[in-house]
Amino acid sequence: MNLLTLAAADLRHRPLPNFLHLVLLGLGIAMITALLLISTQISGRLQRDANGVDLVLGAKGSPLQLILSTVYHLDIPTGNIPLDEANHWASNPMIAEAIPLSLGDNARGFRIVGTTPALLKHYGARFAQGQVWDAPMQTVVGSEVAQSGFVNGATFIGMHGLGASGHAHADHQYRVVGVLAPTGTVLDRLILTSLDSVWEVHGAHHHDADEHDDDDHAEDHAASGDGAANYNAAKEITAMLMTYRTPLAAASLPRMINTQSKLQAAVPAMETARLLNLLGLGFDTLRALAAVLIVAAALSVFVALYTAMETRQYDLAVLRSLGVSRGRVVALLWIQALSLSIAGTLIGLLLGHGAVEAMGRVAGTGRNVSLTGLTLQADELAILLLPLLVGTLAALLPAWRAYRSDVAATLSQS
Amino acid sequence: MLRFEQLRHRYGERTVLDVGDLRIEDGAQMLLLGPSGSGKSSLLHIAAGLLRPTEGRVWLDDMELTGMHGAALDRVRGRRVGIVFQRLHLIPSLSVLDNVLVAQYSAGNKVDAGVAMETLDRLGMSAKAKAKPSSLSLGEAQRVAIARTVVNRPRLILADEPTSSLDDANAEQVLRLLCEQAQGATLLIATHDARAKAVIPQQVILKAAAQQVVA
Repeated sequence: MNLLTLAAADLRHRPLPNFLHLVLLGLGIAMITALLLISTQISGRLQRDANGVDLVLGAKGSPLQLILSTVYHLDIPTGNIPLDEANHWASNPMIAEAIPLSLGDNARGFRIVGTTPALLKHYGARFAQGQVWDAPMQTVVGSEVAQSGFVNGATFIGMHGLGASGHAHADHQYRVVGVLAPTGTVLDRLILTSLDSVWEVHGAHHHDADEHDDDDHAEDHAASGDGAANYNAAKEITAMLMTYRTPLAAASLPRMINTQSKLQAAVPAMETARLLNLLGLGFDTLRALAAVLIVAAALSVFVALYTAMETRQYDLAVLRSLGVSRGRVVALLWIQALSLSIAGTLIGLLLGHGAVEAMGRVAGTGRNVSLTGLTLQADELAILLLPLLVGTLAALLPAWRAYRSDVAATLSQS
Repeated sequence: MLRFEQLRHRYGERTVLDVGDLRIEDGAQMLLLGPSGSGKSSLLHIAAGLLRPTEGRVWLDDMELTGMHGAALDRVRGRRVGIVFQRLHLIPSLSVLDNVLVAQYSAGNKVDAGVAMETLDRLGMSAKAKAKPSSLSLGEAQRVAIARTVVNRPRLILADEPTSSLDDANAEQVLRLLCEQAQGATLLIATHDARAKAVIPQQVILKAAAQQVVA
């Protein structure tokens, strides 16, 4: 017998109202937890994917679309650019590294990216199996791609476009020669191959146009964003990822490219910040809603304790008459409020993590930014402080009333 | 020994209790009689240290209750005083046994289920130790309340109208149980129930109008 067992007995004595307080508080905490996990994982993933990429050179169009399609591999590209012109800018003394990308096909929804081994080096990728390609039509797959059946030595054909419903390049078979260890970056869900592979598939594809020269085919190209220019004999790529040699390049090079060429220079840091800002508006709204839920839950716990005081004032007076000090009566009420708040917070944390994990599983891995609830964020420590605040605030007035209560008068009234 | 010195108590301008000097010896078992409004409950509350009198001093053995405050007074009340209330108000969320244990805990004594069960057994309630108060009859609940009062072996037992809602048979039984369990302690029962006189002959009478004590 102690204050905890007294508090627990009283909480068990009124299961329905206490359960409702837990649900209310749990929902608020779950929403905040889920938002925290989602926003942290998305922004973390975006930052990791764009790490070290100072500039993206691509076709004119939306700079956000260019970044989304070539750095994060989420959107369709803005179009193709001539390799010669891209190389001209890549040779600028202010550029330390330039990695070409050529997009347009997919295999079972995973994007096939024509590039150079420099991309693997850029993200610090290590091989779990096999090695880098040394001939056209050889591929290296990311860890999530490998989990979907693209094992080392497997062969597959690409589909035109970036969705799963494009035209099949049945006469060109890719082969997996390397599997990457997980990197936690966009590489995990890409199929990488040489630029020559992409040119071979699309060059031959173009020259064999007699086999399928219909409108649907042209629509495939349009939808994939590679544009009609891809049919030209001149080599084209989709984009060039660039790293500055000097910070001074940031001040002049993007403007120079955008004004002096037909290409577009987009800065990932700026576009990512813009994207997070757009996402942030939605997150802020949901955060406000979660805060309202938590305040409502705190009020609910307060109302519960306060109304319980009406029915329990004689019980508390009896405890006082048995020798329990004012301080311990206050502590009893505080423990009750805190127990409800802690339980609600734990339920909320479990619900929040469970919901994010479920979202991650329902959405599937490989195609987009993957989410997991099986992780803890440092910011969640702040959530753990919430029950202390909510419980203390909710217990404040009832505890003060209990502290001030006149035991003799209460016992006389009964 | 319970001793009152020049004890008076007022609510505003209205004097509700004028006991003057009164001394109740160790082991005495007395009824505190008087009509409604004569200050019986106030006197019990003052004796228990729950109410501070407007004037005068109260002594329990060698301790002056009116000179004590806060936790020290709570401790004395928990360990040396036992109170039976008119409305029993057992704590509904606790079992019968826990309602007795809570008295041990509240007094700061060792929580000893064996002693609590033994006390319940003396009152014929050990079989219902796990029952909730809501399942007890009024007579059974009164016995549990007595067990809660006596489990700490208090020096002073105060009972406020313990028989007011009981029938004759139960009233007599409760009074006899109180007398039995209070052996060695001072027992003071506030009541206007004439049936009590047959069990406890010693009386202190409070008169409402003159607030004069007749011992």
